[in-house]
Amino acid sequence: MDNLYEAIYKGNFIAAKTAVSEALNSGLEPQSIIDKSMCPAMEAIGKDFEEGKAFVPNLLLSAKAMKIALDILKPLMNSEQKAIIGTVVIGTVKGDLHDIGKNLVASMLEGTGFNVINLGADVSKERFIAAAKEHNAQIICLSALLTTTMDYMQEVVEAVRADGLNVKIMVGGAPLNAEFAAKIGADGYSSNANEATVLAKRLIAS
Amino acid sequence: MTPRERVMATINRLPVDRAPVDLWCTPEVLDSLREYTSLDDEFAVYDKLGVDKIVWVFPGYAGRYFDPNDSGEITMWGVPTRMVKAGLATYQEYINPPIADFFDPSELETYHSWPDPDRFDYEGAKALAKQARSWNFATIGPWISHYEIYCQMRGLENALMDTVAFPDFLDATVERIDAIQTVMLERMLKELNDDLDIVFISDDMGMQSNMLISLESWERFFKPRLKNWCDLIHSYGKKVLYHTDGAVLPLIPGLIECGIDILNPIQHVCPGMDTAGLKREFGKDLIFHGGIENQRILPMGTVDEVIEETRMCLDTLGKGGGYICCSCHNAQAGTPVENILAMIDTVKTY
Repeated sequence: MDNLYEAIYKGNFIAAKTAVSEALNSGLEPQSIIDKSMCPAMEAIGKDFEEGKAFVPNLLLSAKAMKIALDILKPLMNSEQKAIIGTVVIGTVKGDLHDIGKNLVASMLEGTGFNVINLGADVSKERFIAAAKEHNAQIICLSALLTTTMDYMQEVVEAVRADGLNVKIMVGGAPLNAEFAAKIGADGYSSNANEATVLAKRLIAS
Repeated sequence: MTPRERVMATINRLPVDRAPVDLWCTPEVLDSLREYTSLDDEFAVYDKLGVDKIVWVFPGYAGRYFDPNDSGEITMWGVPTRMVKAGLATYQEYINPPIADFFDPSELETYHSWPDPDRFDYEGAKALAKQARSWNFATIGPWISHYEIYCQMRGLENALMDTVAFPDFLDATVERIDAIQTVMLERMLKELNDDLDIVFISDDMGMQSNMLISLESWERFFKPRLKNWCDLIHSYGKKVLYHTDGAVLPLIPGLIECGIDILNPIQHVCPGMDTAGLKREFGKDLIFHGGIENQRILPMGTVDEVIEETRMCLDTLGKGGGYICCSCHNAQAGTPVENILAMIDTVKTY
């Protein structure tokens, strides 16, 4: 088990900073460090979380360690070297400020190789569409916690379809389920951050 | 029986004429019930509908009551808030957590906004409790909390990570949060005396699918302090209601060890929280308050679904008594009045 994998898996962001420097000093390429140590560590903590063995604090700390390491590596890579699975625009829908679950999904997506445009909370349909166009996104992810805001997701889906954008739409949030996702015309639903990465990869491939 | 007699008999496991039915709702829903009853006074609305309201008796602070309809308020803990329009609802949300950048416990010494226990409005709380009594309603208060207040002051993500990364800072801060409220709680218990029935301890430890933090974290930071509060409350002869949403099955044995009397709100759609199982496992130790599913059935279901849901809760959580029926947390804006009436009437005619 290498130091960087362990630092990210355990969410030790101070150790992650040291370990990423060590990996670079040993002559490894940034992309190889990401692929061989960092993504597997995020996948492992994501799986533990999905199985109830790890908790939100662990996932947040791993995401923080991952981000610190990525921030060191990214400036060292030119655009051809960046292997990106796809671009995702993500946000909590208008009227809803609850963003911790959405941020976990964003971190997991970023940690598993996606380019993630995180629009934050209280995001209007216009902003989702503008960001998806600007960044050539393949996927838009919508989040809501409140029963009073989840209906806005349908407005976003309808606006995206009316605009003719070629994107897949994923939804998530505590009061949602697959049935709701299907009803509003979304392309998929996931109940946790790990499941979201699997779904996003499947939607990209489809 | 009066609403209070019904509630207290249920908590004390004495015979009742029927199960009590309480209602938690947002201001929008209360307004829709005012319109339906053509009554303005909140207590008159509950009285008319036959709700066994357990009235929230929370003291104001520094000359004002916490008003969810005010915008731009700063809480007594120094946390700024703002109003956010969320579909049909409007919520006061916490923003800019004031101790987010603190790193060392010594910084807490100079924090400018620790509440002063002398500045809580005990007289106002007493007057409110007496008013509730005049309607024969049971009373619950004050609202006290360890982790929820910490999360507001620190920011949710920081607060969660602190359980693993900065345990000493968390511990030192929660110690102060505890000490201030312990003084306030004891003043409330003394000054309200016979006009107070239950104390409201709120610390959300669950999310939709699992515990929010690990059980080990809860046992380290919160369990001993919770037990101290329960002991204090019991020494005054009052009962403890503990509120946590979500999937909290692993927490329940520890809550019982602390001395919790009533568990709220029983989010039974979450894994491990099925009503029959909870009743079987913990029914002899806990009174249940809540239950009526509030993410789909109460806000969006049909009247028949609400009736079925209410009967299911009464059949399971209410088996042999020990259950106060209520919406699982606040009924949300847009919830049809007929659904709320269906919940109440199903309990009354069960």
